[in-house]
Amino acid sequence: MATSKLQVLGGVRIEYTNQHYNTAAPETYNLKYGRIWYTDVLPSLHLKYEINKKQNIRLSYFNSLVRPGFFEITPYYLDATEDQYAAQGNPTLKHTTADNFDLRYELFPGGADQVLAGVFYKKIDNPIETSFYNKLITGGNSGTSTAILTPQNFGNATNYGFELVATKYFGKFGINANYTYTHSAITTNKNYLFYDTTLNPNRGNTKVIDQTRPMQGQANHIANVSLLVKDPKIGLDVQLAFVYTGEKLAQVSSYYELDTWQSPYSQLDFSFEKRIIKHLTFYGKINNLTNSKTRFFVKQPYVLENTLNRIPGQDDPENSIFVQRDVYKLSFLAGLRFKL
Amino acid sequence: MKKALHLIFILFGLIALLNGCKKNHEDQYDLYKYIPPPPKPISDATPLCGSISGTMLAGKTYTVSCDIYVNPGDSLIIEPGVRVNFQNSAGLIVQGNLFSLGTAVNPIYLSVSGQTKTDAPSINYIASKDSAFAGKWKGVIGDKTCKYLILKWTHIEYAGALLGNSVAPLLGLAATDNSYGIFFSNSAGYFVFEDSWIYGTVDDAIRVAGSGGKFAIFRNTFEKCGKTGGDVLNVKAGGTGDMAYNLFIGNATNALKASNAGSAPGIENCNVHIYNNTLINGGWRQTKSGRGGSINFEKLAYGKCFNNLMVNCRWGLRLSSDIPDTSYLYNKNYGYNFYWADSLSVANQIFPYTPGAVTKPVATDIPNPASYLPANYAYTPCVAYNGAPAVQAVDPQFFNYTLPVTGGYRMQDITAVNNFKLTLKATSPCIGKGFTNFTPLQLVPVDAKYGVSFYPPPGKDIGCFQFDGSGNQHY
Repeated sequence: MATSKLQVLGGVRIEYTNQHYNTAAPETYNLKYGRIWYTDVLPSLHLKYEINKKQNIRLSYFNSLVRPGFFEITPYYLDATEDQYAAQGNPTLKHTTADNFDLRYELFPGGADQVLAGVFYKKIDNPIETSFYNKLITGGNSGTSTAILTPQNFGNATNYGFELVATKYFGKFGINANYTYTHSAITTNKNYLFYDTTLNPNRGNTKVIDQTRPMQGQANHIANVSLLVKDPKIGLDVQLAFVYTGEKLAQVSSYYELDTWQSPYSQLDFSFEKRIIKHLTFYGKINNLTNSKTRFFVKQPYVLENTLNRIPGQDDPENSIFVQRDVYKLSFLAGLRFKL
Repeated sequence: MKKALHLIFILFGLIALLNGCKKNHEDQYDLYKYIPPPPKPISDATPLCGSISGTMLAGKTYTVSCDIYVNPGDSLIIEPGVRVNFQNSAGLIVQGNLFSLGTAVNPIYLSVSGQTKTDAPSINYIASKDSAFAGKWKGVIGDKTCKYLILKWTHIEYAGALLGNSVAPLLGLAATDNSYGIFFSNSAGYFVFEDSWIYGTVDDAIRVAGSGGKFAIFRNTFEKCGKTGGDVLNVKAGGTGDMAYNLFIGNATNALKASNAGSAPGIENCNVHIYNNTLINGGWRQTKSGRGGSINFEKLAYGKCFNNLMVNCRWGLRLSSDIPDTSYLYNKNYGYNFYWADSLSVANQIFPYTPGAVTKPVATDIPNPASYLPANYAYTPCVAYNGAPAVQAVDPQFFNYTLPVTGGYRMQDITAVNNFKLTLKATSPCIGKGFTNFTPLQLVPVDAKYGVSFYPPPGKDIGCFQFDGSGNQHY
């Protein structure tokens, strides 16, 4: 439907999902095979208001779904011999659905240039996050392992924020930048272990309290800046990309405020493509030019029996427990592509 | 433009309607579950005697002619609807595991044949004439190697036979002592008693002693337990767990007792969470004076005690003087208990007037002790008081059990549920008065078969029957 300036596009999509898995596990293995099915009715409504030929305002609502990964829903179990923790799949995972609201302003000054600015709000039902689970999904005794990394649903999350996108070309040279701020919140039950001899003379006490935190993997700030050179005439395409990802929650703990976080990191990548002759292109990539490293940590002081535990490698024991560092170094890729 | 806006509203309305639909997005599953075949079916063709393991098959009736033993490492599984008749004062001695898994529709009976119940109230009731105390078999005895003693929807009736020479040493008792309904004694083991019944025992209905054990005792009915003495749930040193939503009627002494007697290095301190139980007419057959009639903590036992409904029990909650003063039980670990007293003699013992009783009044009890205790009431050492204002003070309003007791019956004349219905009326003052800000101890793993079915949280209504239908399911 369209009036002179307003376009309305609405619709409903229906998706039926039917997933099967089968394994070669013995007959005594619970969840040996399984089937999971669901129907999603996904309405959407998009409004576009044309201010003039170069500017639009868009308002949209849509309902979306994210299916769990196939591996996630199989009842696999990997013990902790290779990795630090055992891991397992979870066939009882629920798929994720979301209500998305977007309001966006668009400006197209000409050519490939653009400016976009928008705000968004998402209500996410049953996001899938990986956390420790102290039981085997298949039932039975988990043996000595009480910490099995398991994809799980913890409840509903709310994300909102804004994004800015800008692209500008000066002849063959261009710059592309975008930035997204996301406030993410999910409140879930956490165990809290404490000692109080008046409550329990024999052992520590556990109580369950709520903790609000961002969703796993959702960084608060994400920014990209790319410098581009594009010359279709000589078949040249060069890009230098800088990506900044803010602090994010890497792993959800089942204990209060003991989640593992990943420090902010930035990465610089370079890529190019150059046509040599008509069908032959030479291309290459150099990733991680600045040799960025990631740091994983728990936001708690590193205290052992009431004293700070200053051991080598613990760079900030007053504020955090350093858990893991991933170092990737530079990576190179080069090749020839032949197109018919 | 106006039309367009209208249309937009209609579209948003439609969206809301679609998303409101509950079926939308719902995950459905069909996941393989391994059902192990019943191991080693046990034949019902001949009477059982001696070692036993395997499965008693659904619906069959078995006869036991002498003591049967589940040997260490072995398991006895009893399927729904099984009836086991014990003869010749036999017992079930579990040195391995017992899984007696009845259902609401097909409960299991561990009983005897040929007994007739006399459960209607009778004026001048005499226990010695009641068939309930015949003590026809030795009950279920969990020995030191018993890892799992799991009973669900199971009736245990007429236990209490003399232990005899071969079994008595397992309980540390004499051959001439009477057996219990259930005995458990393994600090590394788990004892679950759920949705079950114990009817008629000579001594204790359940005793957790020796090295103790972790237990979960939920939603059971205990009638006529203890002939002239004996408690219903009697926990000693090493016993730790939850006792909730149980109904007790006509027991000889205490319904629930926690005592750290038998404490020794390596044995855990007795610790019991007692909540939402209903106790009726307890304590009247105990022949020794000064013994309890409802709930009793003694000899440094720990625990919590909330939301219990005590009707015409001979003594109220008794904290014995060896409970560590101020540090534990006094620290808000009991209260919200409800008392009804038909007569002055009951009201005068809500705070037991007996040497060693140091129950400190708490204002959360119903009726509030301040409403009937003298201003200078001393709980330690306890002194007598005039409980007249507490006589027939607040009626808990059972669905069908009139208070004060009518028909010329004494409190000790009503010893079984019979035709009474002890759920609450909608106007009951017990509704909504429970204390819910604590958790069960939760020491036994949760499992439909091999553990506790689930942990019922504290109930918002005082007593074992919750007005929303949760709690005790025997109604």
